[in-house]
Amino acid sequence: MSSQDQNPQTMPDEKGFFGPYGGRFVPPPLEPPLEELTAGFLKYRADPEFEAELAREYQHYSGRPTPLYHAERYSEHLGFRVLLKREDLNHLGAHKLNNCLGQALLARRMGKKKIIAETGAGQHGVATAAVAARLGLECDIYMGEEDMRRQSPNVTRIRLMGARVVPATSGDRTLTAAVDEAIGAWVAEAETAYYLLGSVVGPHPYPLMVRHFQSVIGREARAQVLEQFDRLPDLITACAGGGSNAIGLFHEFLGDDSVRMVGVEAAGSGVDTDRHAATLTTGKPAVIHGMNTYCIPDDAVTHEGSHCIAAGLDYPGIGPEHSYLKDSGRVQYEAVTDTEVLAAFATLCRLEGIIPALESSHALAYAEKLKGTLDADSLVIINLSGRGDKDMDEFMLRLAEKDAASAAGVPGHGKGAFC
Amino acid sequence: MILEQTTREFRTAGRKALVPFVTAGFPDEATSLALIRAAGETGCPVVEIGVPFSDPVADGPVIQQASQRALEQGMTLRRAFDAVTAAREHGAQPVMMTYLNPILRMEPATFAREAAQAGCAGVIVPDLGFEETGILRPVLADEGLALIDLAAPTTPDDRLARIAGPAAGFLYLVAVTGVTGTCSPVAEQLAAFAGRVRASTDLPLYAGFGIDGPARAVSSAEACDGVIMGSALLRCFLEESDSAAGLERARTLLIETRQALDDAWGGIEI
Repeated sequence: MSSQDQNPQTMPDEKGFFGPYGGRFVPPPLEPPLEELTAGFLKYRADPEFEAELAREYQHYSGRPTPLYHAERYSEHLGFRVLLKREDLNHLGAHKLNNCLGQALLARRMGKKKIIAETGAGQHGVATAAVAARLGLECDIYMGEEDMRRQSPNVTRIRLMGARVVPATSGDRTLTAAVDEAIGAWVAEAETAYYLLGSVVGPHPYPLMVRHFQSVIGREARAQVLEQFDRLPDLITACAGGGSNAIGLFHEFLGDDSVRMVGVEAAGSGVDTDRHAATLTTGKPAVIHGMNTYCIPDDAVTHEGSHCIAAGLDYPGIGPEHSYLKDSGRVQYEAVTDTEVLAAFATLCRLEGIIPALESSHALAYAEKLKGTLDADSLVIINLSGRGDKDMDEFMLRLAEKDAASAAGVPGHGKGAFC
Repeated sequence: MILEQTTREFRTAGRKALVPFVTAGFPDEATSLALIRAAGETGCPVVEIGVPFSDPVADGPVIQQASQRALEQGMTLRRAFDAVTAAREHGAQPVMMTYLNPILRMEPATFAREAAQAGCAGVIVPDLGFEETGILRPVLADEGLALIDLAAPTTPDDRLARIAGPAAGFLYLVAVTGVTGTCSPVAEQLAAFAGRVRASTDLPLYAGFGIDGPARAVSSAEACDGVIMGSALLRCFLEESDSAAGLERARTLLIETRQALDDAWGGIEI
């Protein structure tokens, strides 16, 4: 599990390694379809027609380029200039579509008739169902039975767009079961089906490919900041669960040595508790989900268990490129707690009239910590990876808890996260 | 290596091997040890001992469920060595099936040494791609253990030839395109696949995935030197109300399958 020292911009190597991380650790039946996928991706990535087709979809279907918005009142609050990369303004309200569009177009070019994907909270399933509908491809979304119950509005959205939701009934009936059953289905019909993975994780070529499709974020942001401010930012930051929106923003800036980069993980209830998803902050390398990468340890045999307020960050591993960028020191990784996230979320809502996703609010919570450390001229780009409409149930629950607590006169609860 | 000696002798005797897959600690530790004993008494030359793992990507629902139950009861890689020792005591060569991560956690050299001490003869690591076998094969070989390679029907010929080169013990043929225990092999397709593999190696070939009973064992063994039965055995415990009844049913399945193979290839009396 090693490869020669490489330039971060030319990684991974041909076997999918970012230094010691990444690779392809899969059973033999999965190797041929992954080989076919790698060949297909490398072929069309370099095809100007494919590139033009994708650019058209980004513009007309998803609404790109997304604005790089100078949030003036929020900047005043923080004491430095903040630019929000508005990925929440993509069709469906998140950066997820960048990747889904790219992979679905690739699937069609490769002659596949059907898209298979797994989904946990349902966001990736919705985005995948949308692109499948857009391109007239059959679509099966595997979802744990338990998740289907908890996320029933997303089940409805997926079905409305013509996809089939296949309940995963094994194991804990959540994301892990959905992944295993979806992969099983893919292996059995790999000739005609395409597996659309939602983040920069899993076996090669997914971390490379998903980065490729998400790096449109950083390409736009870099051009926009140069155009608007005639200089590079001092710091760029994004939340990192699997890490696709962060890689998407960071990749284009890797060669700009003056730009500090910070990935923000979910500390959940705190990194010293057993309820968090701060993989790089607390974990160590392990082989999971077909890759070698940092992973939250639990006991000697298994790995499991991550928790935080944002379902999209609730993942015990992280994309292998992040593991490499951490070790190399090029990117700094920090963790913020649920409480800090909710406070930052509320601040942005109030100061800018923008309701961010709880995932994206992790990056905002980190920005709060920079208060007083940067001068007023500093330029900071925060990736606002998604909108918060999907999180309304969680907010209503928290508000109800807060109201109940203040009605009961519990000390210390009068000034909760929403104040 | 002792494993390859066993598999080759079994073939030379004109018999087809029946290799049961037993998840260590499922349905409970004592019963899994009893099933291993039954396998030895039934004349299984090799027993595959599955180390439960939380993310078994190569396994179908039955083995996943078995893994989860075993993990919940505290089964670990180290505790699974007891099952290995039990198999050896009952006359079968134990082969451990474990995903890569638990081995890395223990350190490959430590794992190899402790596995050898427990009496292990070979190791199957389903998520260790052939390109990465260098991290494990040499340290296992130092302890006299074989790393069992897997091949799938979709594996291209040139890759089969590369896999066959260093392979030892037996070659594991993934008989279907899918995960374990979800669909069953078709005899003609398996024959064609085994034929392609035989062009690269004369190692004994054992077919697994989807061997659901005596009839399928016989039709699948036609083209190979043995069959591996996992989900069908473990299902006995999932479908019976208590582990004693499950054990009885699994034991019967083993005996009937062994008998069917011997009837077809003129083996000796059990």
